[in-house]
Amino acid sequence: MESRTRTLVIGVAAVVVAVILFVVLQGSDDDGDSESATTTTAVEEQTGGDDGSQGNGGGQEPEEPEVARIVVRNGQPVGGVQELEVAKGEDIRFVVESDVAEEVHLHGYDVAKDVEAGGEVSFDVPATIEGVFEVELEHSVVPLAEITVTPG
Amino acid sequence: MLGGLFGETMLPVGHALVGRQDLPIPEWLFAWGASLVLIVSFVALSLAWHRTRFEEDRWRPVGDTFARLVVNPVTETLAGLTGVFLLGVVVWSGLEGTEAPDRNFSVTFVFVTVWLGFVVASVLFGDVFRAFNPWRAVARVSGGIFKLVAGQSPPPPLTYPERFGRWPAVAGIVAFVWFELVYGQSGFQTVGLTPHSVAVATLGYSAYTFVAMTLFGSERWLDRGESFSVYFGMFSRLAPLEVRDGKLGVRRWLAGTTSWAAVPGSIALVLVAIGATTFDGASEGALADPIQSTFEWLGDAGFGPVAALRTTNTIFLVLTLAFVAGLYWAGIYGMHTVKTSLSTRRLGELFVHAFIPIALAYLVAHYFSLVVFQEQAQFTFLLSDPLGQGKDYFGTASGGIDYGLISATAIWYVQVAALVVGHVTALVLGHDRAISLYGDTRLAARSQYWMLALMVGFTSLGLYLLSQANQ
Repeated sequence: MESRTRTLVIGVAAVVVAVILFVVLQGSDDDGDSESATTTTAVEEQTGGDDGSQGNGGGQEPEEPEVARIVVRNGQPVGGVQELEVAKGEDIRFVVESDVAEEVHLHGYDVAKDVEAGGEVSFDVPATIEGVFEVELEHSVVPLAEITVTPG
Repeated sequence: MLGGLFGETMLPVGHALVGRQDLPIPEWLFAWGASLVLIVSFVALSLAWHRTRFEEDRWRPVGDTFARLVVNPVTETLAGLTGVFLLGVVVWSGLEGTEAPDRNFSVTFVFVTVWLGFVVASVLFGDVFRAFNPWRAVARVSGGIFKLVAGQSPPPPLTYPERFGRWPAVAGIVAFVWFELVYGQSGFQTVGLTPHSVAVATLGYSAYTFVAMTLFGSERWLDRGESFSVYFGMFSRLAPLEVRDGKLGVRRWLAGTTSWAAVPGSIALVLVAIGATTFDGASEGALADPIQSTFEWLGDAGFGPVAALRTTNTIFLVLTLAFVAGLYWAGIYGMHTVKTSLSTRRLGELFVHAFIPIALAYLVAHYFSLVVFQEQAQFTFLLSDPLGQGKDYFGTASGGIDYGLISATAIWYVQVAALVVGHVTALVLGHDRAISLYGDTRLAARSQYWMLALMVGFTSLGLYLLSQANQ
């Protein structure tokens, strides 16, 4: 019985070690790969997402972030819900151009700004919290964008 | 994740599985890494485990003074009163308060504090919901009054049909999940889980419960039909604490589960618990595209947007539940081929308790961050201003949610750890049952290869859902 208990303890210990190793390796791999993944997504967004204004989309480094422009027509975002991605420590920057008077709300960061009909409003918020955050027209509850803030 | 709960347009999305697509290692490696852990643990178990350890729970009462301090008529009455009071607050805030679900007490309280909080409390402290259950409290008071007036307890007019088992509770949980994830899914429209509909559903369910308790007797219905009692009761079987005949006692961790599943409907309850979380995770990730295209297809076919969304989500909820059930029965069928003296159905009953930890792991993996963030709201502004109308009863109305409290990386580790621990626990219970059934360790191990494959399947599915979430 005792030897069995010992085997069990060893087995459990092995599992614990395996899990820890797995998590540690997982963590250290993190940085290397995530950058390239981030860059590709970002490029796709710039070419696809920026409606007209300044979508020069040529795989730039994130040091000079594009300012995404979200155009609202008839109360809906042109081209559907926009997806933006920034790393923690950078700035969340986007401009909403709307043909209706509304309040634009960046959830989580809880930044809300009014926009007049035909006007535009720009956001420049330090990305301090990791996660996926929604930008919406507060009163009509229409989602405009999803901001993904990745661990820096 | 959260979108399933509050709808994409109601609250900030992605509390939980933030930036999952950015995980550096490929998803398949992620799944295989965890699977490897399980295989290692299985080998360790089959080496070390020759006599059952959990088939007897070895419940024994704890010291008198402490037990009486925790469980006595005063604490029971207080807990019951608290339950009734909070039920009242849910209805009141739902009917009278703001319709913004994130600023109304009712939505967060029902779907986070109770629905998820009592799972955690049950696993740690046993069946605490029983004490707080508002419907039970009311039934006890009315039963007591009746007894006082009539001099004896009223006999229930109907005998609860034993073959129904836990099925009424299963039906109730499916209805709750449908209300939460399908009806309450706001998606593209301003519908969603409104406080008003939460209050109406609460009243409706209360009425239904009182009628059923009157018909079948309150204790019987609480045992079998009352969905929340049965659901939280299932998780409480993992806990090392249990009250028996009014006495608090301790038992082995996990051991309470081994005798739980003999009642019809128990398998369905475990599978629904897993399937509902699977659907919630998948609808925002893995299944997002098919859901979107079905939604559009139904829209083209002439459905209005809300009808199309709800029909689509109903279809995919049913498909997900069927998929989880299919996966389970396929694994059980495989076990049946090892030794055919036990029918597949019987084997399904005998092993399902091992999947309760998996259901728990799925819940932790999917809702951990939601609970951490949303409970901050619960105990600040939702506490002081339950109606969202600018009150400040306890001076905490200006508080808010600090989303920086835990990092995305920490959440990932909690999620993966939950799945891994859940599955190792499941394997322990599965293996223990196999030894009690097969005696011979080798045969037990062989039957458990199927169980292992099944559990690896569920882990990989869980990890896959996490890897696909909120993309």
